[in-house]
Parts: sequence; structure tokens; C-alpha cells
Amino acid sequence: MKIWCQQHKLAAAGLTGLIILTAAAIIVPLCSNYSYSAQDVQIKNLPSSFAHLFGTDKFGRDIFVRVWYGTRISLMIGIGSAFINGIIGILYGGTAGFIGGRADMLLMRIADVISSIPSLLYIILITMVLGANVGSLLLGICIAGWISTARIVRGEMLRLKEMEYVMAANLSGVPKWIIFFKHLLPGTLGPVIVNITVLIPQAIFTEAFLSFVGIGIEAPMASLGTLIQDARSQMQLYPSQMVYPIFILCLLVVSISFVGADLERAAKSQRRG
Amino acid sequence: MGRYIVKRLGIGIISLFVLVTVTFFLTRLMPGSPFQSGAVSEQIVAALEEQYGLSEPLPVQYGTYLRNLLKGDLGISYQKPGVTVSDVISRAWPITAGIGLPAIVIALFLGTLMGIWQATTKHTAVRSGIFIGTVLGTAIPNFVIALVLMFLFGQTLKLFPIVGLTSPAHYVLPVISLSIYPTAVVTRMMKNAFSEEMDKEYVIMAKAKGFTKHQVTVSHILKNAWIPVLNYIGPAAAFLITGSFVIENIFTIPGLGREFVLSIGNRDYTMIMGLTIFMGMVVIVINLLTDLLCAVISPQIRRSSRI
Repeated sequence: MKIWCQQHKLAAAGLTGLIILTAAAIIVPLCSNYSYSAQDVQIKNLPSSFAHLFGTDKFGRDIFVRVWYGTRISLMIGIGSAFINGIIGILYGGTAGFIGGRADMLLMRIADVISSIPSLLYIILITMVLGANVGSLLLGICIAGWISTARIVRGEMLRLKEMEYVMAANLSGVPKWIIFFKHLLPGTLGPVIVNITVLIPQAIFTEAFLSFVGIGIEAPMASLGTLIQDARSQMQLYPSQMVYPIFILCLLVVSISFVGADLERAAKSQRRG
Repeated sequence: MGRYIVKRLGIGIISLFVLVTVTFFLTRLMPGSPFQSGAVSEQIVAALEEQYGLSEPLPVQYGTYLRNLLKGDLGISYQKPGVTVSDVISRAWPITAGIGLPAIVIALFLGTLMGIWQATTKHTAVRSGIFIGTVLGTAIPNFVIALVLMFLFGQTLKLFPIVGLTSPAHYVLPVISLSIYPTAVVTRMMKNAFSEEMDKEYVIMAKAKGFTKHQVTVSHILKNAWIPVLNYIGPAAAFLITGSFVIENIFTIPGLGREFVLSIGNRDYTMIMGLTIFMGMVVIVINLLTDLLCAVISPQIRRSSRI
């Protein structure tokens, strides 16, 4: 364990950060005395204090609780979309690569058309039609998010199909679907995991950015993006209000990126050696 | 080669068509009518809708829109009577391009240089430094960077102006905020591509032949290593357009991004559609051009036209 930590300093740091943030996101809103929307105009714009660890905002809401509610939303969207995109991508790409030939070409062409349209446009249109909540953001992100995973899985599948162990399994009468699920798919997972660790920060970033502009999650729901937007109007007088959500957002995204960067490096050195 | 072009154009046209159709139906599905803001009576709303052709059945509206589109008529803004969508686009688009183009040029130049530096340097400190830089650059959202820059340089140190776009100094902060992510991506790409090429046999051959280090780098390695970067220009353009939503919002710049966000808030159907189609078209065209450019440069891509 110690040796692993030394060799993978980045991933260790990233994972630690991630675990702390997730724990706080789950525990703090449960235990806190303050609700995320309770306004108390008399205590507005307070600096950090014992009662309000991150201070209060312009409506008197406790920023500490709101930050962790926001982190919950970011985590839900990040991990949720990565999960869904991962499953769709693996099945789609795996099938395309496994069947090959014309079906493969058709499936990939469809994916090309979907991916050539900037996905942000879909996401915005969907949030407008279905309302601005976690569900529609997830839907929007997942419409085109699976495509990069699918391409990678297909590539790996095409490569692994030609390997001898597959031929051996085929000759000894193993049914094709068992070969697919038990032998080939697990082999494609390496690059897929690296890909997913890039998708998560992207999804979190998209959500924060849309909420910031006002198109994603709406006030008074607390998303890290809306918190930053709220604090922006107070930037000149109370800059600390902006610092906290920004800091936590960065910490979240950077932790995941560290883990991803480290996995990428490990995967590359494994492929070379 | 001709086959590849035709195939690629075909995909491009289909994508545009899908984009228009999807946008059309999604905007029509939005709750509320564009005329409902303010206390207007039901009859007036109905009359206005009739006048703008919104009360016809959907397929008819779709057909009319497509026909107008082919003529180049994107419709009139519902919220600002007398202003056509094309007017707004032609006014706002140079502004957005004015920030986007420098950002991408910086990203390509700086990214390439830093990537090569990272790949060829012997100092581990430099390598780790740039590596951490790229991880941070790709992780930290650009609006956060924009806000921090705005706060640090605009407010506290008062070095650069932060509102609007009237002097060259106004360009500095927005362009920097926009360019950090693509620069980080290009650096990483360049470093990976360069390291791989460096070990290949043709490089050793070139060195053995006696080319100077500079010649080897530029005319041999760079030509091959640059292909993934070229491929990235497409997604980078998409990123810059969407990045403009937020950056223009933060720095109060009257470009396409801001118009788009405003029109969404106002439920201005024709505006939303027009802007979406325009932005989507720009991305699709840029992707098409870079793909064709790559096909021209690299015979490998031409041959693999099965995909």
C-alpha cells in the first residue's frame, strides 16, 4: 500500500481529496442546522465564523451548507453521467467492433453525425424544454457523451478480435456472446477507464458553467455554479463569498483529474513495457 | 481521395440537417409562448401568434422554416421588432471571433512550444512543472479562471480593464481566460506525439544523415506530430464558441454568446434557432475543413477511408 502510494503520488493525492469531498458532501447537509434555502436577512454577508464556517451570503443563507449541497449535485451529475455514458459506450462500441463489416460502418456513421453537433446546444435546448434540473442535465450530457467511449471500445475490440485466444475459444465451441462478454469486453476496459476519468470532470464543468450562466440548475437550488454567480455581485465588497465555492469546485475537479492523469501515465507505461 | 471528400461532405450536410430539425422541434416544445411576457390578454397573444405563423400545424411551420433557411432568411427576432436574426448575427459574430481567434492562435503556438519543450528537456523540474500546469489547465473551468483573473488583475491590481471591448487592453483578460484550456490540451497532445515520434527510426536516420537538430525537429518530427493537433482544431472551435457564452457574460462583451444566453432567457424562438444553427454550422464547417486538410497531408488517413 505504501509503495503504491509512493509510485502513484498523484492518484493518491487525488483519491484522498475525492474521498474527503464526497464524505463532506454526504454528511454535512445531513448534520447541519441550516437548510440551503433558509433566508435570514438580518445575518446577511457575514464573514466566516464559528456558527457559519464559510459565512453567509447576501440573503443570509449559510454558505457552508450550500457549498456541500452544490458538491452533491456536481458529484451526482459527474458520476451518474460517467456511469451511463460508460455503459452505453461500451455496449455500442463493443457491438460495432465485434460484428464488424457494414453494421460497424453504419453504427459509426450515426455516431459521427451525432457528435458533429456541439453537445452544449442540445443540453441547453433540453433544459429549456424539460426544465432545469439534474435529470435534464444528465439527459443532455448523455446524448453525446458516450461517443468517445464507444470509439475507444470499438478500436480495442477490433484489435483484440484478432488475437489467438479468441480464435481458440471460438474453435472450442464457446458461444459468441460468452466470448464477447467474458473474454473481449474486460480487455477493452483499460483505455475506457482512463476515458471515463476525463468525462467526469467535463460533466462537472458543464454543469457548473451552465448553472453559472443561469441555464442549468436554477436558484434557489444550490449548485456550485449558482453559488459563484450569486457571489459575483458581491465580488467587490465580500470577495470571500466567491472564494469558497470556487475553491471547492477546483478541488473536486483537480482531484479527479489527478487520478485520471496518473491512470493515463500508468496505462501508457504498461503498454510500452 | 475524391471518395473521401464526398463521404465527408455527405456527413457534414446530414449533420446540418439533423441540427436544424432537432433545434426546430426542441424550441417548439418549450413551454410558454414568446409573447407571454407582461400582462397581455389571451386574444392578443393568439392574434400575434397567428400573425407570426405560430398557430399553424408543426409540419407546416417546419416546411416554411426550411424553405426560408435555404433562401438565407433566418427570420425576425420576436422580442425586438424589426430586427432580423441575420442582423444580430452579423453584428455580434466579428466580436466573438475577435476573442476566439487570438485564443486559438495562442493555444496552437504556445501549446506546441511548451509541448516540444516538455518532450525534449533534460530537466525533470521543467517536465513536472509543465505536466502539473497542463493538469491544472485542463481541470480548472475557464469561468473560474476568468473570475480569478478579473478579480486579481482587474480589481485589486487594476492593471487591465474588465468591462466591454473598446481598446486593445480590453482583449487581454478575456483572451487569456479562453486560451488556457486549449493551450493545456495542445501542450499535452504535442508532448505525447513528439515523444513518440522522437524514438522512431526515421529520426535516427535523419540525424545520421547529418541534419542539424533544428532541421530534424521542424521538418521531420513536427510534420507528423502535428496531425493530432490539427485534428483538435475542430473540437477547439466548438469549445471556444461555448466558452464565449460564459466569458462574454463575465466581461460584458456584446458577442454571440451573450446574445444566445439572452435570447434563451427571453424565449425568442427565431433568435435561439438562428444562433444555434449558425454556431452549429461554424463548428461543422471547421471540422469538415480540418478533416479534409488532414486527409490532404496524411496518406494514411486517405487510405483508411473505410472509416
